[in-house]
Order: sequence, then C-alpha cells, then structure tokens
Amino acid sequence: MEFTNQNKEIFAFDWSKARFPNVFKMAPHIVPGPPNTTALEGGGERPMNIVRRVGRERERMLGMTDEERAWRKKWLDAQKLAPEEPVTPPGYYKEMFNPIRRFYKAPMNKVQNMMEPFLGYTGAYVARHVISKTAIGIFTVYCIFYHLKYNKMLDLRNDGRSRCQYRSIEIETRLMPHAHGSARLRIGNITDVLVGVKLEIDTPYAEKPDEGKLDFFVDCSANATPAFEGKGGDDLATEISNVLSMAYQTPDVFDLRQLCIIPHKKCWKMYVDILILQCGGNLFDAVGAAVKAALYNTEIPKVIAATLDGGEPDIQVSDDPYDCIKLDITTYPSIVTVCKIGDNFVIDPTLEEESCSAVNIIMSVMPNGKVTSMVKQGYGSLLPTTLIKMLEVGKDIGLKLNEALKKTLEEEDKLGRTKPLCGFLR
Amino acid sequence: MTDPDQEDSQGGLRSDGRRALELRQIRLRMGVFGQADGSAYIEHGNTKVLAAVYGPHQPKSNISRNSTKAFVNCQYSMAVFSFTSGERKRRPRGDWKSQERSAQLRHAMEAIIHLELYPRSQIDIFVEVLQVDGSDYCASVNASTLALIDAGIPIKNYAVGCTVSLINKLTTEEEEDKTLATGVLDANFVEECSPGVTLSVVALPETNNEVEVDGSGLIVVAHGAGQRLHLSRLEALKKRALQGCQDIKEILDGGVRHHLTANLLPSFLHNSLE
Repeated sequence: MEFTNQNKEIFAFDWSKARFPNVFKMAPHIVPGPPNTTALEGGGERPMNIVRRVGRERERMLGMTDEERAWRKKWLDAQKLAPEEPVTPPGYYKEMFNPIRRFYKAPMNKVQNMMEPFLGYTGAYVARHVISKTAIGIFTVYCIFYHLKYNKMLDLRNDGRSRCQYRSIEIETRLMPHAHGSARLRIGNITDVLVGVKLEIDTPYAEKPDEGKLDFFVDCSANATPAFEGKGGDDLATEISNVLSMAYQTPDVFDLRQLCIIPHKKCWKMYVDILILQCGGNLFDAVGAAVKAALYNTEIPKVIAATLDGGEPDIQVSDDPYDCIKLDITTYPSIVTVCKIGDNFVIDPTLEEESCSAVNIIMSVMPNGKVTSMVKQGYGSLLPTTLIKMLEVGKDIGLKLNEALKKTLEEEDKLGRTKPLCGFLR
Repeated sequence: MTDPDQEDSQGGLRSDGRRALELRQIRLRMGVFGQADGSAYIEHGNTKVLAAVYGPHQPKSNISRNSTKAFVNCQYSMAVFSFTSGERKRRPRGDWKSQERSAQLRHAMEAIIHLELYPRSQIDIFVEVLQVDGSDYCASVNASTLALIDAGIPIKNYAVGCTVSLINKLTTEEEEDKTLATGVLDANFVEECSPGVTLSVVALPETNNEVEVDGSGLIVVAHGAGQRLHLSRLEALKKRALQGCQDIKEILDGGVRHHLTANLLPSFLHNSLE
C-alpha cells in the first residue's frame, strides 16, 4: 500500500499543539485509540469517563474532597449488577456468531441450558466445554487408533508374511529308496506333496526315434480332502499334470534325447508320479519344486552295453548301483503362482487367500529367467498391463526360488547317502 | 534276497534273517496331517502306510441319511510308485484289488467303531500305501486304527492285522520244518510271493491275558492268498496269527500312549518320559 500525501501529513502531526479533551486528563489509564483527528478539528463528541480523577488509586491517596467521595460512592454502587443484569441486547448473539458457528453450537447450547438449573451459569458453561472438548478428543484418538490398526499401509498378510514371501518350505529327498528318485515337499507344514520318479525301458515314438519319454502323473489322494475320493481329484490332477508337462516340454528345459538308449529301438520312459497328500494352498508351486527336487536326485542306471543282436536290442545295465547318470537340473523350471487379490499380487497364497482371489497366474520360470509356460486360472479377467506386471513379479520370484532350491538341494546332497531318513516319522 | 540254496542253510532263519515269530520293525506316528480329523503313519519294515480319518460328518449319500448307525466309508489306494519291485502301478485305485481291500478294511473298521453312537453320520477312512513290502493290508488296518484313535472316535478295541505265511519248502529236513512250516509272522514281499499260503488276519487282541474280556481275541477278517491250505494246518496258523496280533497290539498301544503323553504333558516334562 502506498502512502498518499495526506497520510504523510497525518503522521507528521505535531502532538504538542494538540488540544486534548478533559477525558484524557481525568482517566489517563484508559488507553485511548488512535486520536481521531477529524474529531479534533471539527470538535466531535468523545466518550466521557465517569470515574473521574479518583479512578486511580494514586489520585485517591492524594486526598479526596467530599464531593469526590460522594461521586466515588455513587460510581461504586453503580458497578453492582442488578438482578436482571447483564442484559444481552436482542440480536447480540446473532451479530456475534456467524451462521456456521450458531449451527454447531446449538446442541451444546441446549445442553448448557438444561444443566444451568443444577450447576449454575459458570458450572454449566465449564461443563459444556469440558464435555464437548473431551468428546471430540476421544473421537479423534479413536479415529487415529482405528486408522493405525486397520489402515497400516504395511505389506502384511494374515499370517504375518509380506506379499512376496513364501511360507517355510521343507524338502526331503531320497526318502523312498525303491524309486529312482523321490522327494517330499511341505509348504508351511500344510501343503504336502510326495514325488516318486520311476524309470522303465520303452520303445520310442516313431516320429521321434532319438527321444525318450517323460510322463507326469498326478494323484490327488483322498487323504488331502474327502472331496478327492474316487474320481473327485481327477480334474485337479489333470490340470497339474498339464501345467507340468507344458513347463517341461521345451527342449531347452528337458532334453529328451538324454533318455534315449538305442534310437528307434529302446529308450527310457521316465514316470514322474506326484502324490498330493494334503493341500493348504499353493499346490502348483509345491508340485513344481518337488518335481525339480525329485529329478535332482534321480539316478538313471548306466547302460554299459547296448547292442543290436540280429535286429533285437540287447541292453545291459550296470551292476553297480552307484554307477548312474544324474540329471542336470540347471535348466529345469520352477512353478510360481501369482495370485491377484484386490489390486495386489500375492505369492504363495494360503487356502483362504486362494479362495478370495479372482485370478491366478501360474507360470514356470527357468533359472535363466525365461518363462516356459503360463496359465491363467480363475474367473476374473486381467488388463494387459496388469498381466505384464504380474509376469514380472512372478519372474523375479521364480529366479529367487530356483536359486534357493538349488542351494538347498546341493546342501542336502552333501550329506550323502547315509543321511538319516525322517520321512513321515517326524 | 538270497538264493534258495543259501536259505536252506540258514538254520531256521527266514530270507531276511528273521525267526519265524519275529516281526519287522514297527514305527508309527500319529497326527501326521493337520487338516484331517485324525491321521497316522505306520511302517512295518519297508511297508509304509498313511491313513487319514475324516468325520463323523453328515453323510454324502442319501442311503445312510436315516440309518441308526454310522456309515463307514473306506478307500484303499496305493501310490503308483509304491511297488518295491521295479514296476509301476497303472492306477492308484479303482482296480479290483483296491476295491476288495477297501471292502475288507470297512468290515474290519465297522467291527471296532461304536457305530451306534453316530446315527445319520459318516466316517471316512482313507488309506494311502506309499510302499509295499508285504502285509500291506495288515499295515493299513493298523494305520486306520491309529488314525481312528487320533480322531477321537470311540472304538471297542484295537483292530490289529497280522499276516501269517506258510512257506512250503521242499526241504526234507524235519528239524527246520517244525519252526518254519507252521507259519511265519509278518510276511514280507518275497515271502508273500513264495509258493505257499499267506493268511491276513485282523483280530481284536486280548487286552489282558489272564482275564477273558468279552469281545476280545476275536478274528474279524481273515483272507488268504496263494495256494490251497489243508484244514489241519489252519488251527496252528490261527494261533500264531493271534500271537502276532497280540505282539503288534502292544507295540501300537505303547506308541499311542507315548503320543498322548507327549502331546498332553507340558514340554518341560518330556525329558522325564524318556
């Protein structure tokens, strides 16, 4: 704001020349407002103080005349309130409080009016404010508590895991000595899968004469749930075996030529049999990891002599049980289920989480990060962007899972063949 | 497995080195699965069986909905990789053998459960054989009994299965014949396959040898496999089988008691158990 010429004149006013009205001399303790210069020039009306000189204690100590004494008494008497006082002028409340304040004050005003006969004006006034402020305080504290309790933007699930965390996985391999390879895998002490690998000598397919055969068979035992009794588990079994055979179909993953003995004549047929003993969610991951573990310790007997004797193949298997071929699992994929719940993705869903998810993506990830198969499960639909995001999450998890699995299996392998078997006895 | 010539010179021992009345090592565990109402795992040597019990619950079929007794539903299935001898099973269940075993298992279990306590309800018993090395039916009966105990379903007595096998040896030495020819207990796979009769007996063993308790020492299910059996030999076989059942029952009972004390007692008392 700019100062105008006129304003400058006001500030340059010479106070010594000013004529002060009597009021200031008589009651100087009343702090005056800024001098109203227009009033001075025009001689306007100023409010008059009726306390007069003896308003100040010091003046009173100087001595009072009788007149002053009488005035003083009159003035003091005038300060006492009459029973009807203080009088609130009509319209005062409306002028003092804007409509919004009047609106929110109304309920407590009523309460105050109701309390006034019992507590008196001051009591009711204090009580009204204490009650309303306490109520607001409690409400605020409760809101904050509620927010912190239920709206923690923490990455936390019902069982305390974060979104991308597996339950504890237990693997025991070689627990069935009568099979060529075996593994038992448990996720979180619930999901329980037993895998046995058996080999048979078979004739190769005519169109693929130099390839062996790999067969996945899933058996959903009724031990898992009574719903699997009889043929009840066949649908799930077919689904799992399809996912597995898709995951292992690529030549990059499993080279079937290593199962060939004599082209056109004889090959190994590898049966990977999966027995599902208990399902507590995330069956596919469990089966994928268990199959990989079972294949890791599968020992294919070494063929020492394979000859064609007059068109008839003659195969001799090494007598030494330790003389065998092991499979190279460095390319074998592990299966990861990415479960979409709401807007988030969850890894290793429990049974409850599975039941409330609309879409599952089951993907098999090779240790080099390639995805060999992908299946969408569930009734929901996915946006392409979401799908890509889910695939990326699944790929990262799959890489970590492969890494961890490989490490664990190698560690167990170091224990050698003499390690004690616990199986189901623990 | 040893060849037959060696077997003869073993001085009354069987092919795996056991004596005629010797059982294989029995190891058991109850409460294997969390989701089932009751579950048990048992090993008779290399025969490994898992059993799970669900129920009593509302019956699935309409037939038993108005019955005054519980309906026992059994399913016996063998894992496809269960055979010890190389080959692989084609189907885990639904074949003739499994169905027969399921029915026999149901008969054995109906004999011990207090069915009248659960009218209009169903009890499911699922048996999964993980590895077969002889006496698999008997092992599954034992596992089912343990699973029923784990599920807390009231039973009258342990149903204990034991096989007794008659090894028909063509030896002329009478001395050896006396011990082995009257039947060997707990036959393994080789003995079951040998030319001879294998009798699977499920009995309710006597709880106490001195006192004859009503309903104890009864044979519930018996079925034989193999060749013909002369009737005169049946009595001796039965006696041996009951003896075997009694022995197995003691092992099972010990296992159950240990399981219950280990689970009921606070952990700091566990050391005093052993």
